[in-house]
Amino acid sequence: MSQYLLRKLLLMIPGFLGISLLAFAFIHLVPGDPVSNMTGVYNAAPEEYSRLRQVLGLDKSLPEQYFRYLGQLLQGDFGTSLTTGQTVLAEFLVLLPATLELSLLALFLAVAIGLPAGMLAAVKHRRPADYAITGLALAGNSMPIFWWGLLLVGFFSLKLGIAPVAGRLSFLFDIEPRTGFMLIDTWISTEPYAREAFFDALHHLALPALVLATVPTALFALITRSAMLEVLSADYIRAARSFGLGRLRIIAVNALRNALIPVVAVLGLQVSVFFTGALLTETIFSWPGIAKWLLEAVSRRDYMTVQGGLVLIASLALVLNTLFDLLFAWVNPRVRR
Amino acid sequence: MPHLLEVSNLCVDFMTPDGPVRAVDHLTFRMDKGEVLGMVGESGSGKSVSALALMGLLDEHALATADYLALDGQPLLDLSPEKRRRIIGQRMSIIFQEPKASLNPCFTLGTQLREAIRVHEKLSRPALRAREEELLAAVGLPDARALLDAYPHQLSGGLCQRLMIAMAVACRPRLLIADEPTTSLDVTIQAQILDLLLRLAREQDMGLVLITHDFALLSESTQRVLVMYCGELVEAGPTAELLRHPRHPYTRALIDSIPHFGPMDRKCSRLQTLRGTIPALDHLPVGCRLGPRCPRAEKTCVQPPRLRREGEILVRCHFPLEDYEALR
Repeated sequence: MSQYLLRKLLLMIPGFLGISLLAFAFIHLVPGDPVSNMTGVYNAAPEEYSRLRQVLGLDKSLPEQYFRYLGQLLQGDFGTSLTTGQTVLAEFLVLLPATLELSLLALFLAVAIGLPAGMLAAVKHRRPADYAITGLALAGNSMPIFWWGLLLVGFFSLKLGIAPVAGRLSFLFDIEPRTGFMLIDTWISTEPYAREAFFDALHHLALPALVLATVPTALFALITRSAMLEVLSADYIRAARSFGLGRLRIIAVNALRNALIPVVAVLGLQVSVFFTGALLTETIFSWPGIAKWLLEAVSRRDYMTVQGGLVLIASLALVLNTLFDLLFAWVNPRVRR
Repeated sequence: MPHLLEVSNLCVDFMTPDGPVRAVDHLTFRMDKGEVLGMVGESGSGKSVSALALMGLLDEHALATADYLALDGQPLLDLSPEKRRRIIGQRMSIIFQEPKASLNPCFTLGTQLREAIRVHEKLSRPALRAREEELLAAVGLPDARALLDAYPHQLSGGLCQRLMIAMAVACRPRLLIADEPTTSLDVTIQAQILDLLLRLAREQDMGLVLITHDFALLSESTQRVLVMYCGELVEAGPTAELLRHPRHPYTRALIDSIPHFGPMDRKCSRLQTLRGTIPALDHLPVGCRLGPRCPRAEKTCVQPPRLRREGEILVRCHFPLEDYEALR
């Protein structure tokens, strides 16, 4: 196990080098002049221009520039935003909890709904329940998120008026951001309206989380179903029945434990898909998270923020992928040694 | 005294989109306490399906019916699924062909062994531990507690089968069905596992059904043999008598297909085989099911033969072999 752990951890190094290389290339590959891209100064006088070039190290060779950039990254310097003047890392850390809150809730929904639905479909193979779940899951999996999100906003927020259109909290409430997680902040708040604020935050979270959870839920249901079907016909399930174990116990323990292996594998691969979903969801619901922040940086041509943000998000994905690899090893005894 | 196992007219039908297909056709036999019974036939002859039907472990799309089915005098057919389940694994057990595939890859062997014990018996922790030790010793693995912390993929097939047997006999069953218990193992291990099964059957006074396609395996270990072909019992009788003088051409062919080693005491050096292959169950020949493959088939054979008694032997053939004569 420790060898596996070490290998997975060491594999993060080439992964991170790849990320940094792409991010470095990015600033040279986007249209325009690197000096303007990195400073936001577009009409510099010639002397000013060459001074900036020198300060930024752009007069050096590309490999030298890359190692300089890598050095900055390793020291935690991910650049400074051209529009706000704040460091990219600081902005990222402020916005990350909003995205995490949304994503974690969506992930929870996806697992809590998708897993049992998939199990039920497998147990009721080729019966109405199976067809219903599989049909819904196929529809959910192929749903374009932006369209689905707008549809839900149109129906629940505009037509029925029972859900907020955008944001994380009503403007009525003034909650001190201590953790950045709105649910936690409102929960621990000492304001007299803390309880109302908590439910208001939950209210705001519901629709975006539902939208973000749609595709993963459907995917989990489909994968759990097929994994479960395969496992249920395995010899060791027949053997478990031959011990006299009850059907429910076999499904919930002996079979599920094995079916989880492919599910966890897919969960790990879903990290990047999740982020794509978050990008669309945050935009639709004006959710102040990193995906929306990044998208706005792109439209403002704030290349430093885009570059730093991409490195941070990719690194986060790298860490999460490694975590899921470890989780995979934990559920699959044949992987660990 | 009731028989250990009584089976009367057991039929198993598989429900297919094209209608039911009969995999076991009116199987009737009895077994005494502590008896070792062999069940032999080619793949697809209905041996394994019969075993699963006896255990009540058939899949949902298979339907088993019988006139009578009793273990130790207790009829099994009228029992509710819940009561039937309490008998499975406790009073009758089964082990399968692939020990590694039969063990759950996600749990340690100890977990699985304890699971097999705990389904039927609530034991205290020390008692459970004592039972584990006892079972490990019984399957020839004394002082092997470390094995219980291993996962199936870390052990050899032989070790897995020993542990599988330990799980099957965990609750001291009256009847153990071994469905091709050695087929997937090395030859040297095969003999060990077979010896282990026979020793356990003898020590615990447990009935043992040994299912195989290998007649050689049965010759020294069983008292009686049932020969199955296409879901039907074609011949049954004491093993020694059957080997000395098989009445049914199919039994004869099975015996002839055993390779002989050492000095050539028989003229034929070429292994005898039966021509053709076992027919599909939904395309059975009219009359005797062996008909198209049988070297002795005549016109009469389009009439289905009945089981009839010849001395100690039951045989389903219009033209049973008179003595150990050549087939062709």
